[in-house]
Amino acid sequence: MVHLKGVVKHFSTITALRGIDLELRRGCCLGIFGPNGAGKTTLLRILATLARPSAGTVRIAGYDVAKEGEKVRPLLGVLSHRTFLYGHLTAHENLQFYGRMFGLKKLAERITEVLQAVDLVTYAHQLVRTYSRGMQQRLAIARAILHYPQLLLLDEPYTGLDKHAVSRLHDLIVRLHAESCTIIMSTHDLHRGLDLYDEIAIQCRGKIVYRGPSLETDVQEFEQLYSAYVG
Amino acid sequence: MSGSKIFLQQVLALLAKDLKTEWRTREIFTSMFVFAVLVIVVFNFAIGADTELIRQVASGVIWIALSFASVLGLQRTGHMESEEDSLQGVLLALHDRSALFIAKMLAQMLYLLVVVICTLPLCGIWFRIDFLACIGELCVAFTLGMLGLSIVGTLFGMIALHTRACEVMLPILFLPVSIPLTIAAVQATAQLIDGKSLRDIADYLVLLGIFDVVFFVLILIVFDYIVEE
Repeated sequence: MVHLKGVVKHFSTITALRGIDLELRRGCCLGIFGPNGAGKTTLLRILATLARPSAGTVRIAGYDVAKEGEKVRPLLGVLSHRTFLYGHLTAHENLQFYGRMFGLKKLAERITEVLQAVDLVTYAHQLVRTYSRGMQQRLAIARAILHYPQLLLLDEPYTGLDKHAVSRLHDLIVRLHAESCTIIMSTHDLHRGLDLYDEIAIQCRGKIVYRGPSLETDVQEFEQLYSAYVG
Repeated sequence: MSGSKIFLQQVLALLAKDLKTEWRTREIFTSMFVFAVLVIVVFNFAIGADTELIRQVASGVIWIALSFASVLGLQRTGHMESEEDSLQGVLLALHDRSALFIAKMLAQMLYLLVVVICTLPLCGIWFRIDFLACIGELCVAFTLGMLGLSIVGTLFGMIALHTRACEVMLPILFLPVSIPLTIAAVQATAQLIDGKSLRDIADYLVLLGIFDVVFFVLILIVFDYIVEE
């Protein structure tokens, strides 16, 4: 599903990614851990077609991200700590806008479905700027899954979430994972959701320094592993 | 669905979203209109009662007001898109990213149009100029001029969004590039006010048209790269 080879990214004199190689099969859930500045967000931005790699190739579902961005984008759902929502529109209007952008059929039904999934049906016609941070993040989850993405990119998705939203997001990831959605989640929180991943990777100074199966790693063991690689 | 149908659908969705938001907040129109009126009022007092002088500078005052009002409008638009990084969400949903340029340009053009419709009658009263006498001809000159301001403004609005000092960068980039357009628009408007016909100002209209077409085509080619990084 995801294939990266020798991906390098420079920002003028700073090198954010130093040759990332990564292969991910369809339906796999990968957790990328790393300290701030490791290049996790840059990697996800390249996968999301929001940035071009300075060198290397990135393919998603067989499409070259740099050359066939328009074919890749409908396959992606992206959730970051920013919601990508418009505060002066209601939840329903925000989802309607994104649904129209993706050309979704039976949009009204789909909007109700995703709003139910994040428990926001009651607030559907309220302006988003009146929502609490947790509610906005739940709506952002709804936005990210609205168009049935095949690859979900989650960049520090737990930032700013309340307990309710954390559990909703957790349930949703489990459900999407069960439905064979490929998931890549970046975080620096070692304790959250370790059970979700099929595989884990540690990224440090622009390189993936460790990759292994998650099921064989318990939290303490992983903490030791993380310290050994990151310091 | 065919590429052009998706493109049109996305342009309409973006335009509808922008106009709906503006209808609710009226932030962009208010700032543009108030600023344009203030410029005209200030110039009106500065020039005094010299009717001939007023006639000579009126078109310049109008286009200065529109240029600076454009900057304000573009800054508000940029602020709206950067508040929750919504622009990133839009870029993730776009099939062809030039749909974003077309929609933003059309929205900016509409804001300018409303500002002109509201400002021109006030201008006529203060400057004692009968714009109705040449309204048809003025429509042609204003359409070409506003289109140019919207095209270039949208481009630099997007570029400025990626810079740290967005508020400063936008006028620094936008105003110098729009100088040829402003000169042509001012001259065309001044001569129409003086009772000349469209045929008399054909050179200026051609210049405006060329400016619009050249920038429109150039921006369509490079827009994908502009919004990416």
